[in-house]
Amino acid sequence: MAMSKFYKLAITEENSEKEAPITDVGAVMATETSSPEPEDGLKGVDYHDFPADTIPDVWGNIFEKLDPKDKITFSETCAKWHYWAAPKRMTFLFTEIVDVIIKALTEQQTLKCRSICRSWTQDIDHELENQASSLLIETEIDQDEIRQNWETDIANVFWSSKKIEQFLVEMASHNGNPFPGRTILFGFNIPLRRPILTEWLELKRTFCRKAIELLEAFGSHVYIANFEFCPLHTNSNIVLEATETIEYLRTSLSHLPNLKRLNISGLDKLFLLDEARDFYRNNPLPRLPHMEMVYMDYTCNAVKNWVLETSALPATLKRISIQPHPREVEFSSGPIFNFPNLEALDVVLSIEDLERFGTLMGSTPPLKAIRLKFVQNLQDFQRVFRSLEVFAESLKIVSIDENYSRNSLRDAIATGFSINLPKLERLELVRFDGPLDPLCRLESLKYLGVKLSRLQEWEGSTVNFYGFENRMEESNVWEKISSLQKLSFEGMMYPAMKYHKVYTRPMLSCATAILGGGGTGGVLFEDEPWLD
Amino acid sequence: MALVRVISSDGAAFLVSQRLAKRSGKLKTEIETFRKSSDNSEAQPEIRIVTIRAEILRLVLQWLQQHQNDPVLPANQNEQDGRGDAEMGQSQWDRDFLAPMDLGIVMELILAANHLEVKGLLDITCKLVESKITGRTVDEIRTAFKLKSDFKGNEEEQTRLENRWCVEN
Repeated sequence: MAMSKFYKLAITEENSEKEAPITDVGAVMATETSSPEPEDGLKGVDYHDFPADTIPDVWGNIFEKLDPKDKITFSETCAKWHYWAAPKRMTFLFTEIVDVIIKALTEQQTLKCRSICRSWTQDIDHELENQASSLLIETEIDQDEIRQNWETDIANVFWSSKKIEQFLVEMASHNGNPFPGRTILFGFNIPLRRPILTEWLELKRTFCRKAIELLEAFGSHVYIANFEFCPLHTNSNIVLEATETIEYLRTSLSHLPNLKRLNISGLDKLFLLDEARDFYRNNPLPRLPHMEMVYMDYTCNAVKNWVLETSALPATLKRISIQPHPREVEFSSGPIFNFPNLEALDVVLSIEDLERFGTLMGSTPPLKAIRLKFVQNLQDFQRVFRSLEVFAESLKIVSIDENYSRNSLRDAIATGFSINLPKLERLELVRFDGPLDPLCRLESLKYLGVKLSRLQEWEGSTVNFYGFENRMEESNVWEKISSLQKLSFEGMMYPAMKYHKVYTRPMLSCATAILGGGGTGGVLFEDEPWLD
Repeated sequence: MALVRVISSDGAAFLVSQRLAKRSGKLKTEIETFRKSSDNSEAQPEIRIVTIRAEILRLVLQWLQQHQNDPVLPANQNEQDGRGDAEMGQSQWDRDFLAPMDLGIVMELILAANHLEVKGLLDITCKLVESKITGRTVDEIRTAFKLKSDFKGNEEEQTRLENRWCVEN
């Protein structure tokens, strides 16, 4: 009986019992659905006998109304439904695999897939818009999982007024969002032959005017905005040009109400400008209620403070990445203390600021990832890692670029110092040549990367080290750090040979089986065929 | 030999050596969790995979069996020598294994490999889908995937326009 097969499979999925009591299942279903009494004319019709594997038109109609996930469940419910759903599998399965397959596709392939059908376009756009990596700082991005720099791949890039004009003409009748990746980049392209000042200013003003026109029309669709600023003209009236530039940024942001990530590169000479400081004070940026991440590079401290203090909402901002300015090495870290929900920080700090960071606010920010450089060189190894312990409950990723004093490294061995960050999973040490002993109690550490340095053996160290060249599989580092899965060494050898060695945890159990298993170790048995 | 019983969404049970099963990240975790929670160290773990049907689960296990003695691929082979994982891992056996499958099955295999954390299988199946897209026109891709264009009005034209502006020129 048709019904029997359906119910039988349903219960088998739940209980994995081949001989499920079919009638009992039917009774349970009837109780749960509490079917009404049949009308007179239909007496004798058993509503429990609903024909689950007939009437394909009805089920096809129902199928169309299901969500992609439910469509998969539908197609797996019984052989007949699977057969009916098979021709449509490409649409609903693509929804499921899009996050996986998109990592294997290039930018061009991804865009081509957008043109196949509506559901593929929607799935890809949804994936691009929600790619977690777009809101991560570099240290947080696991290159094994996420294609590098994806966020700049599917971006609308505008370098000239002409290009913006063309875009506005072509998109004049576009309804909705014209940016598949919800990403936009503006950067005024410096002409090859640098024009005289008046011409230069006119070109820039036209570009800014057009950019703002575009944002007025489509800015509400943008989640990620990149502003790349070119240097000021060599003969510039700094006050005029700088004030115009920052006014352009201010106006642009006012048309980006849904912005999640703001990238600013440039604006590096404005620190010379007292008038601009007044401008910042008198002209706060519009508040961006959805902004979760700020990245600033080659940006003067006055602008950094302006952005962090006036545009970001303290409760919303979760990630800050501030690259050091070549002329203003020390960034006053005051503004970063204002964000109680900060999850990721990439910044140059003094060790004193780092020590204050976790304690200044009423509660400790739930910092998950931190990438640090220090203002002063040759830090005390123990002091640096002790200052991170305040984040021990949340910290999973740490990257530190620092040369430690040799005395502090010797002390770490002599005193048996262990880094106390029990949740730490990824640790990257740049310019580190110390012993690995302090890492041995990192019970969650899966990845250790050492960059721009050569580890060496230290007196008193219990970790066997064979050099990055070979035999690290034999080192006892895998026993000492039992959670470690991957060890990476990257750097430069004399005279100019780059190296990058990656070791993965030796498969000890597998090796044993190959020696003693005689080829039977992996034999697969199937003790019950699936039900027909 | 220590065994584990792996049960598909439609109730088929497969008895698999634990050594083989542990080449799947997901099964490895499940076996370890079972061991920690079980009082009887000899008890046979039973793992239900509610998202994978028998036909697909059997294919995954066949692939694992064939590759049981392969070294476990680093998560990203490119870091070492610049070659892609799929390029590194694909053998004639893999090609013969995938050849008779229609793309629907391949997509289900991608889902299964992703869920069970079988990186080598995930790489070769993704590579196969990618190969059906690379160098083909939109119409050819529709034919390969048995899809019809269902864009309405000027949606298709709009999509093409949007794509054009995403490529730096």
